[in-house]
Amino acid sequence: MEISKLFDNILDLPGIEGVCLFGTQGQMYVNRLPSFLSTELFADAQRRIVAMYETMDENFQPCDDYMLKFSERWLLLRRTDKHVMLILAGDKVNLASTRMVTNMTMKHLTPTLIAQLEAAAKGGLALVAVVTPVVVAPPAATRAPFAQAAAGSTPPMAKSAITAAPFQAVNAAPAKPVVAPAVAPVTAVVAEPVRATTVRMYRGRPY
Amino acid sequence: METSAKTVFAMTNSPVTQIMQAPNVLGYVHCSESGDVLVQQGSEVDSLANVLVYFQQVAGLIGESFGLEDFQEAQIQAKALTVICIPHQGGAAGVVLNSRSRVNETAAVVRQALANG
Repeated sequence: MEISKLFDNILDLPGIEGVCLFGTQGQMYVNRLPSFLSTELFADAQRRIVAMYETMDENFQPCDDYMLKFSERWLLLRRTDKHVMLILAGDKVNLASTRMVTNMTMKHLTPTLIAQLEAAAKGGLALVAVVTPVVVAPPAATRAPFAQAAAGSTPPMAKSAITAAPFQAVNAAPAKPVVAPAVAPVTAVVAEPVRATTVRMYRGRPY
Repeated sequence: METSAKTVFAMTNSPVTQIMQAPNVLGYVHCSESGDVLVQQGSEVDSLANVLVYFQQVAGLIGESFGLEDFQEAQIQAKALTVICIPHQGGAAGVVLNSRSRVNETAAVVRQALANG
């Protein structure tokens, strides 16, 4: 099963507002949290969560699950071997259902899948973008940079960059200048003023 | 005679007694904000008392990172037991439950007992 579908199952539950999976070393593997949570703020949270796990493990007992309840939201933290899944939910969420679904998700996080996630994180690929496709770029626009590269106007793209294109959908900025010229002629036609001319008619026909 | 009866009544209806009488409760600890242990009863609470206030503070900070305020409760699940942590009188109250407990129901009992106390 694709990892994005696993996390979709969690987000399908009523009241669930976001979920993410990160490593205890600070790597972010999957981020489906609301967009208003900035990366800097989340880095702080990540550091505190890891510190909390370590402190509780050493000074109390190894605890894998934490449910933190605030006035309007819940935070559910679930740990596997090297990863922590964080779920942000509203206060009306069914906690038992959330646990069941997250159990299934964690069950599917096989060592192979986790190795792929780790490799992607080390390679700098944003699996975030795989899970949450952001840019809706038209196919012509995405192909245009390659045409430009062939014409020699821009440096040719490396093969790895081409294969990684879906992962870098967020950085699809080159698509924008290509789209503009296609639109320009249309606006030029529309902008041309229409002149009023007098037409002389004879028996229903202009002459 | 009447005074002693009132004392016994008060003791049996104290928040700590009510909490300890709840099903599957193993222990209770109440720490001040500075970490001093104010009340401690039952088992499995010695090590909890050491980390309870720290945990509550970090939980509040984690919530702040997400823009969440007013930390109300935490449920900590270990293999053999569950801990409920509730802010109480400026400090933290921790209740240790065994694995068979119904955590949400017990949390409601604890919350009500602490509110009445």
